[in-house]
Amino acid sequence: MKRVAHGVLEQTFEHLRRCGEGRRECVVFLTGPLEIPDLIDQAVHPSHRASAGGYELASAGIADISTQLLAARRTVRAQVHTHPGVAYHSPHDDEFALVHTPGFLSLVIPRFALGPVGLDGAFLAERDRDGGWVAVPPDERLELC
Amino acid sequence: MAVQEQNQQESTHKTAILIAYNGMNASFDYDPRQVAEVTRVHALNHYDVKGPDRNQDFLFGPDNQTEIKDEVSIGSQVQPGSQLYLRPRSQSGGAGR
Repeated sequence: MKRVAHGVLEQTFEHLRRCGEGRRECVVFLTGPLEIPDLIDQAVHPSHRASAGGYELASAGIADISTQLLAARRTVRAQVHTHPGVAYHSPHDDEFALVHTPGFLSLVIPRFALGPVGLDGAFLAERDRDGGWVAVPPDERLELC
Repeated sequence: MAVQEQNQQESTHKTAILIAYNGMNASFDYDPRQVAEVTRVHALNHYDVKGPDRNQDFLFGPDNQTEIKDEVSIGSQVQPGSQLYLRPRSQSGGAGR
């Protein structure tokens, strides 16, 4: 179970709504300090391109994130992105995640995050020991503090 | 004696670099004569990167922009003690892709 610090989910929705404007997908990375393994206390909105059907980070965007993480001794514990309609993990979501280690989480928020702030209707996938994905109930992996 | 000398010669070829992955950082010994893929696979195993998607993670140099070529000797591409990064070339997702 990962603890999501107070205000982080609100901040995440704010990024997704402002950037996506209800017509484009958007992505946010949830990070935490290396020293506290289960804590998520920041929402990072990376530089990316997006359309109604997807988003993409170029190499430079990933370089920025990875350099900042190393300097700050922080790690990405979950990636969050929106879908236009219902939330699910598409084959593309399965294949092109940022992190490929067991326990990494990928949260999909429906309707461009225009609904109420929360995990209702959200889809959560978790990396398993073999590098695949399994669907898990959001409230079994994310504790909103 | 000959074996000992050979081992000593081999050990002089070993050196170390740092490789970061998702904020974590560790030191890796490498043989500069080996292709860079050997070190990349070593780092992937160390960080427990699993599954077919692990082939999307590549080594990047100290500027975190220049990709280290898998098929070329690592010694010709990095200096001992360098900070490298293990990461994807791109990242994407979405419902309509």
